[in-house]
Amino acid sequence: MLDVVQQYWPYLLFGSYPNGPLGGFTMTLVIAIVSLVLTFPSAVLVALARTSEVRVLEHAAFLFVTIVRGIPLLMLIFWVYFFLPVALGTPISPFWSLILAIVVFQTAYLSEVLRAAIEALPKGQTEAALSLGLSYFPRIWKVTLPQALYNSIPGILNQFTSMIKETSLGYVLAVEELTYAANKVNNFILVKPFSVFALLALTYFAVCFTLTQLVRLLEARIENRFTRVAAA
Amino acid sequence: MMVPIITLESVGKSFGSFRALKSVTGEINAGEIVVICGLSGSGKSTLIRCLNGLEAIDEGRIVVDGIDVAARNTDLNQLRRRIGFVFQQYSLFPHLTAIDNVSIGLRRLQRVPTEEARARALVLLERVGLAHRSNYVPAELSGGEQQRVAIARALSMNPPIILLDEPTSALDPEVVGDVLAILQSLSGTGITIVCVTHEMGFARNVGDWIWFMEDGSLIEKAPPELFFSKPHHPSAQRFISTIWRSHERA
Amino acid sequence: MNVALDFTAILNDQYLHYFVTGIQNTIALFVLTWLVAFPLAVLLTVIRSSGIRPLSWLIALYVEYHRNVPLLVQLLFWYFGISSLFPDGLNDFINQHNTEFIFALLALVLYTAAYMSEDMRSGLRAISKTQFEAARAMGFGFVQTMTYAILPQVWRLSLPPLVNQTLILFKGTSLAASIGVAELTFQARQIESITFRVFESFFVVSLLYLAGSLTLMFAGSWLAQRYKLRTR
Repeated sequence: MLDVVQQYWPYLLFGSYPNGPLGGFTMTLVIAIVSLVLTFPSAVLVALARTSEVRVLEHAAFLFVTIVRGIPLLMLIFWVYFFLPVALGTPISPFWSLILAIVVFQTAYLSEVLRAAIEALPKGQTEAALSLGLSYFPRIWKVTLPQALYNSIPGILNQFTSMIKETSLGYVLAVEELTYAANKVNNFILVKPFSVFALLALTYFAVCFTLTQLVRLLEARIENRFTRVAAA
Repeated sequence: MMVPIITLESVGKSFGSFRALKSVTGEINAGEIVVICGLSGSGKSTLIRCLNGLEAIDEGRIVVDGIDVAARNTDLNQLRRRIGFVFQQYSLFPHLTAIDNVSIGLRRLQRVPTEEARARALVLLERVGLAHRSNYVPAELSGGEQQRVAIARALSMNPPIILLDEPTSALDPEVVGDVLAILQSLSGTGITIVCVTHEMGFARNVGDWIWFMEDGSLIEKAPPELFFSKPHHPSAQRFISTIWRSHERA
Repeated sequence: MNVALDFTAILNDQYLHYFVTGIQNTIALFVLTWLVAFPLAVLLTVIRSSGIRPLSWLIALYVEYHRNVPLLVQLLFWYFGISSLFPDGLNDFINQHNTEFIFALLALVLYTAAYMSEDMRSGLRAISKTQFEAARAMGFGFVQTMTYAILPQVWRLSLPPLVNQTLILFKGTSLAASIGVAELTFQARQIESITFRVFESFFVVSLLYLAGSLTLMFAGSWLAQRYKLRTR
């Protein structure tokens, strides 16, 4: 496995860059980060819709979350890549198809994390804000969201870790992320499939394991902060 | 002829550097009721838990019903089926009804057919006054009721010995009497009872012997009349005067 | 969108068998995986709670690997990587018996069992030590204690996360499409590429997935209510 690393690490890490498009692990990170950036605001909106107490919004958001959570991500990817161009009349690149599918998928899941955090806030917070005369949007922006989002940091990181794993589905669309790159390397070498795919698995393991440990650390700290505030 | 059913010889136990039991020696004859008392931290719970091997001893010997509890080749599971144990926190199995809690030992350990096991369990539940609640789960029973079911469970396999670790300490005062009454009804049936408790009234009325512990040592062993009227050890004297004072206040 | 929807084009005798094959394979993968993964998870949980350090450590490693490596990569690792290490006899045997399905099953079983054992482990941690003591004090050996006293409680406590994991498994079967198993998602692509009815074929398959997911969700919450462990 070491020789595979030695020979192909630039390709697995960066793709054909600088002599071609970016790829490999860097591309994996790019896809994941772009997805997170786009998912975040939409997840907030869906979570707010779910907790808005406006019937129409609540039901629409519930429907959205239930449907998205009821079908596999791969199916969603196919919808975006094969159907959306037909519907919109313009082709969509595999790169953006993957990102869009992950964004829709994760919006549903992340919105549940945020919704749980919003609902977990002590009722006193909302009541205090109301008695101060704050209307809905200022209240959400200044009181509810800051606290809910802070408490959700571990949950958000968890979803980000999931996103990193989901980028591997780029393999199906021939997006040049890590899994697809590893597959290309394997097709080139041909005689060392075990080494190549073991390396692939190990790389994801290293990244995601580190992230999950980070989440554990943060969960402990965030919990402590909350109790300290409550005690004071 | 009194036959010792439980023998303790210089029993010692440590938790790390803390000596919980120091050279405890004593004998309990079959059919006797022994009450172990003392202040918190005196080692009384540890002692009773050593009798059925829930805690392992570091020094000395404990022989129960002819079996050395700490010996390497002792089948502890077999021995424990001859010892009923009642916990302070009842510890009933929450997923089973009262009757299933009481019959599970019969069914799974003694291979008694279910019908017969449930019938026998019902008899025991009647004895503790809870036959009408036999199909309730612990969550639907009060603390006192749960403890009574726990006693029925401990008696389910007809053990010659029953050990109770502060059976009434977690109960509301009103129901303590019910539980103690059941234990009192067991006296004279031939079953050996060892009970760790703060209930000195019970100790006085029902116990054959009182074992008083302090700091891990068994410092006084006496029948109730002697223990309460003429305690030897100054700690025992202090203990009794505190008890009477709190009794008078209550 | 200027193409009229025509469901009859795909829901006729010619193409119906595609759907049927897809449903069969999806259900087969789902059910077989569950039937093997669940007992395996129970076994792992029991072993882990026995207190034998090296075994617990090995199982922890197993769990962390399967939680941090994407399912797709696990599939590819088995199908391309580990299969190359198998002796010829084994490979011949597998080739005669639906290769892709077997490897997909293998990957899904190990993946699901890892998550399920974690769910059960957290259920186990919620059970107080005195429950063990009560059973041991009655004379139950270790295995008997687990069987009659502890596992029935673990099952009830872990039911909600186990239901969720079952749902994830159901959707996870779709990834078998990436190594060529003719389950629903694969068939959706097949039908679409033959008939060019993108919307219709994807819609029917999505509906089927939703039906399955919703059924599982309802059955799951009914089970969770029925077997809820009540504590005062």
